[in-house]
Amino acid sequence: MSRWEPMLERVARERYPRLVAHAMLLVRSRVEAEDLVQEALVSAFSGKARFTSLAEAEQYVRRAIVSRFMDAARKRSRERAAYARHSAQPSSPVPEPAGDLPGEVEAALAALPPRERACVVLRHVEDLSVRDTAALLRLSEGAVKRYTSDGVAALGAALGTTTVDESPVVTVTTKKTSIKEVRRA
Amino acid sequence: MRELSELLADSVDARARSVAGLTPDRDDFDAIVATVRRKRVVRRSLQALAVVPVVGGLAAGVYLGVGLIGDGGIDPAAPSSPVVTTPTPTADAFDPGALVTEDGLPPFYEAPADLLEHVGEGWVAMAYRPEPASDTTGQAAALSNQIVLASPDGDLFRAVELPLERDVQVVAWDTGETRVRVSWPEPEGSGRLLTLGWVDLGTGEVTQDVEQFERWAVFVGHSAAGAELWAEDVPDGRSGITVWALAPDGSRRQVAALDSIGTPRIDPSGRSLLVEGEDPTRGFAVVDVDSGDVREVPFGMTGQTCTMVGWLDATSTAVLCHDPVPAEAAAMDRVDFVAQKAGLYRVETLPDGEVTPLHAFAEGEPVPEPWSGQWVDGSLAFVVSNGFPGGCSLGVGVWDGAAPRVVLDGGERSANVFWLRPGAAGRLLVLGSPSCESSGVQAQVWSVDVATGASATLTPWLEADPDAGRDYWFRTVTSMAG
Repeated sequence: MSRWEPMLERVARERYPRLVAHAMLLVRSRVEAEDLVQEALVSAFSGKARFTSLAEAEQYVRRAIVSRFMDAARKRSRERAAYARHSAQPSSPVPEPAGDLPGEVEAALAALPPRERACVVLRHVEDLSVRDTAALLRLSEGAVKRYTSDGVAALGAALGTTTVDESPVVTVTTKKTSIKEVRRA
Repeated sequence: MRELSELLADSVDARARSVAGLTPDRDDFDAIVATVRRKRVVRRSLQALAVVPVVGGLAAGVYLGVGLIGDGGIDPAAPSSPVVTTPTPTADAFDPGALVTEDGLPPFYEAPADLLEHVGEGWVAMAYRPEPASDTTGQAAALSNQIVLASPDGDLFRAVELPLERDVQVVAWDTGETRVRVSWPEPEGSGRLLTLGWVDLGTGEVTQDVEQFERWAVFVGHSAAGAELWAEDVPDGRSGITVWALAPDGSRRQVAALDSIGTPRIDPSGRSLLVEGEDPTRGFAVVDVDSGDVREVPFGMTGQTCTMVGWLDATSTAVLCHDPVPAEAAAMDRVDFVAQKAGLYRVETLPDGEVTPLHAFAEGEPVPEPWSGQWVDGSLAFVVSNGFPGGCSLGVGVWDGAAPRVVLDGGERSANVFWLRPGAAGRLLVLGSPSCESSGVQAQVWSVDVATGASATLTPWLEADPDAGRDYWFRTVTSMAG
């Protein structure tokens, strides 16, 4: 057995529920969340990183979950853009929140655009810096600040939350998408 | 009112409790393990082929393997170079005929009968296999399969058309020879994983070696004696490799059996292999190609975290060292190379060799990825790290004794991976793909003058055509050598 396999087994055996819980901040169904976690496991253990502890591996997989989520969101965005030339596509309905805390939080997050969701999770769950979030999601730092700020504001309205020590948004915020993003859309 | 981060953490805790005991089912887990195995094999082969130097005139190839599959979800923002020359097809010294336009290929010429008489230094052989893909239906069959020769100016000539079922990869090519060294993967259940062979560029004939490897193997480079060096996996999925020397007469010799999970890098003289050490955090190992002797070499930098970049010359290596990431920072955070006092060091490989500082990195300067170095005509070319382990690369950089500089920019989204190999006359060949982690889509090949930074595109990106169900190109150029 190769050196990475025992660690992969441990992550899957001991940390899977937490990883699925993290994924459910990004996607609503447990099936989707499990798919995302499994993609992230493949991504993390196929890469160059070596894990010396379970915690290190779990942390890397959690970030890969967000990265894979964003990749999938970008793909869907391109797909929708292609379809949009022929017919207007309704946006995905936001699911009704379940009565418990995770249900409410996940529903509130589901109402955010994918980029805002990813930025909020990386900044406020993974505690990544703006710079590292930008690198991981392949966005500009200004875009990360903007998406995070918009997402936090929306969550505040939905959940009644506050934030501390949030970086101020210094970029022009009259548009939610940059010129490049408009072109892609 | 509750603080957002606290609420999110409580939510994750509650959700984790609600799914406590959940694990992936056995089939799913087995599929994860199988996929990781396959991707690691391909990544290792890519790393190996990325940095082999030219020895004895025969240059080694780069293989963008079939294992680099993915959703293509990354915007293929074409990397740009500080100085880009756009080659114009020219008819130099012979009549190439008319430019041909064919689905899945950039404009090219059909190779005239006397093409090989005009081929020389600076030409590159590439396997080109266009495979379109759709976001909704996935990968489609290859449209064609061929070996294309690129002139130094970027003119493309189709030399050989190959059957679609044989996914031939260019391994090495001496531009003075009419044959190109190739390999191709075999389908599952066929008894072996890989076949080594040759393609005659004049006749198109494909031949196989009499003796083949039992397991997957990657080409390492050429020894000083002209033998091909290959690293074959050890049996039963165990970790380690066996290095073989295949002499021009067909005989083979075992060079060394190594526990290393990395793939060896041959030094510019073809006499020593660079491999991971028993403890990769403390040093590396050097293998004598003739004797098979393995010698551990410590990095020699007390209190710093060091990683190998690559060979600097036949007896010294370039090593990147920096202060350890502070304990309060997460282990997998991006490394701030300036804050961590990153430096490039020369570590000699001879017994009692010295460690010499070469450069201290300043803000904004490109920093090498581990094991990505390629020595080209007195300069160290390298893939530029983004600071994350296993992450995407920012571009291609060069260090020539002064400040490191970027010669190929990965673009604003830094969503590219690159493989390097030396070209002729101080040029660096770069195969780049707009992919990250396990995603992979089509590649592009550049030729970069490391002295000036000027680059020429040998094969361009192909445009997507969503209306035709082609949201992206899954593969185009798959390997190269020159």
